[in-house]
Amino acid sequence: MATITKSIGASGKDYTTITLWEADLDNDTPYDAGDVAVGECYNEVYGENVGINGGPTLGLTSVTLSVAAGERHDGTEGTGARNLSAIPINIANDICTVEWLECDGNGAATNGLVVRTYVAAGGAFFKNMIIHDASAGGSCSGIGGKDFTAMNCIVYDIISTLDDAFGIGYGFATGTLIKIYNCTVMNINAGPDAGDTGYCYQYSDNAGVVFQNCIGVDPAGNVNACYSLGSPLNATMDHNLSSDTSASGTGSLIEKASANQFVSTVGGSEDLHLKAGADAIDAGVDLVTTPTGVNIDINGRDRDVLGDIWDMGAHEFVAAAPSIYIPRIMIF
Amino acid sequence: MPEIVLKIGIGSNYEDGDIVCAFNCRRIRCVHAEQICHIKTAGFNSDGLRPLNSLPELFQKETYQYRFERVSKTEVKRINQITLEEEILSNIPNAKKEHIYLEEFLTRRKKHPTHRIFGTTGAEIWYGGRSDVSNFRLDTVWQKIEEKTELREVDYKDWPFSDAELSHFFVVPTDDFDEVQASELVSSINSEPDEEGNTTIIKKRKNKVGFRDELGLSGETLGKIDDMKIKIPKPKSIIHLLDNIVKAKVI
Repeated sequence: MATITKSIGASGKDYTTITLWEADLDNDTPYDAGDVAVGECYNEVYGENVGINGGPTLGLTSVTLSVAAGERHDGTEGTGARNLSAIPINIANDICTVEWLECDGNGAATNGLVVRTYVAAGGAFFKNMIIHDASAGGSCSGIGGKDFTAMNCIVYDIISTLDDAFGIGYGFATGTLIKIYNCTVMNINAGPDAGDTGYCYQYSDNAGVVFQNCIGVDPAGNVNACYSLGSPLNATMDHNLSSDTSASGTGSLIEKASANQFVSTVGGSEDLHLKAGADAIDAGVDLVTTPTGVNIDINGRDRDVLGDIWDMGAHEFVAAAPSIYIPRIMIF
Repeated sequence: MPEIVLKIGIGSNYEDGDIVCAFNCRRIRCVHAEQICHIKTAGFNSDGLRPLNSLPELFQKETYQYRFERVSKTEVKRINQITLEEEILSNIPNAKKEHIYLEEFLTRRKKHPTHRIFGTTGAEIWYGGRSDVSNFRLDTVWQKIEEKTELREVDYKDWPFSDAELSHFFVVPTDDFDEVQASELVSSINSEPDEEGNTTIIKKRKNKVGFRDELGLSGETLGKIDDMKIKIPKPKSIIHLLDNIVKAKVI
């Protein structure tokens, strides 16, 4: 078994697009059965509607779409590899991980669904992603689908003008399992009509569904909540934060305003890192290193190795030295 | 020149001849403009910020929805570049619950090795919001590139395929097509909506080109294609109108 890493980008890489990298995954040149395939994006703009289901025919062990070290975002949009598309990524195999990519729906009005999975067994993994600005007349979501695990992802500005909207959750097939750790979701807006639901996190009350260390704030719509089920009986839910009263379980915080949590909620300059003094700081539960990668925050900080007291949300707050402000000087 | 990329053989749930990618003129001129105007080409001024009037700044100024200008220690002015509407934002939430802790925002941004903060300390400028890389915007971008450099758009007419792509896929030049056609060319066949209105992909591509028969390739060339380890030249001589490909040659 070998790890085959291929670079992806228009600046002289192995493949110019994610789609062409994926279309080659079942090619016995350069892959063999049992290999681990890794595609590494760079600090470029990729405007693609990508379907990922290659690899199983040849017998790849896993497929990971990532971003090369040094080319990754800093937790804010526009700072790393960015896929600019209304329907950027469709995952349809259970050996896939997508990480460190920014998915920007760019306010597209065709279909806002940004990342979706279709598999029932195993599921896909989404790590350290930024997903934002999906807009549609129909239903709209950030990460949705069957049986997936999302950790340390930031999702915001998911807008449906006439239907349902949710940040992270199942989009179809009730009864599916999702596991969500240390994610941050803000500003999920559904339509105003009866039955239009806007949830930061939408899920079924199944054993095996997990929400831990999550932040959900500012949902809107005819019916809305940060967490679609306030007090689940079967799902594991603890140490979450909400701007309404829907975060439940041990250690959860309710009725916390977004203005007291984040650096910026300004449209076009969103920065959902925790601000100094945020309620979410040191309010999470220590998940150690399970599932794999949960300890790596949206900036790449290893909470476990550095002995942090875990925060809620995708960002682990670290106090920074203040910058020096020099006023603009007018010279006449 | 616009190009479509065909799958050779089967794999990744594609069929032989499936149209994997479709690059029209707009996409090609955009990808080159983005590379030429990449933030890494801007360098830094003495404040560690990106210089104004650099190509990256001009690209972002032309294509982004908002321009942000710091106006004080805690305030920033957001200018909608389309409507010219202006608003001052600070750490006090506005009616839409928008707030910004400006120092924390800029401190983190400036730490990133490829940050996109322009101007000077105390008068920082940046761009954000939705982006528009339509031909109308790209006309201006390329005009700026040609004004400020010796680069000419006429030299950037082809998609920058890698050697691996030219070895593993079959590239066919075409006449130009618009965004709707581009989307249609690479569209999938989806299931009927389920009870929640969602669909799943049944077939990865709706359109394919029977290139082995339709393009009149020789047996020798076909052998090289099937090998997939031998780089074949781009078949520049095989130019078909898009209509022919879509309407007549699509199986």
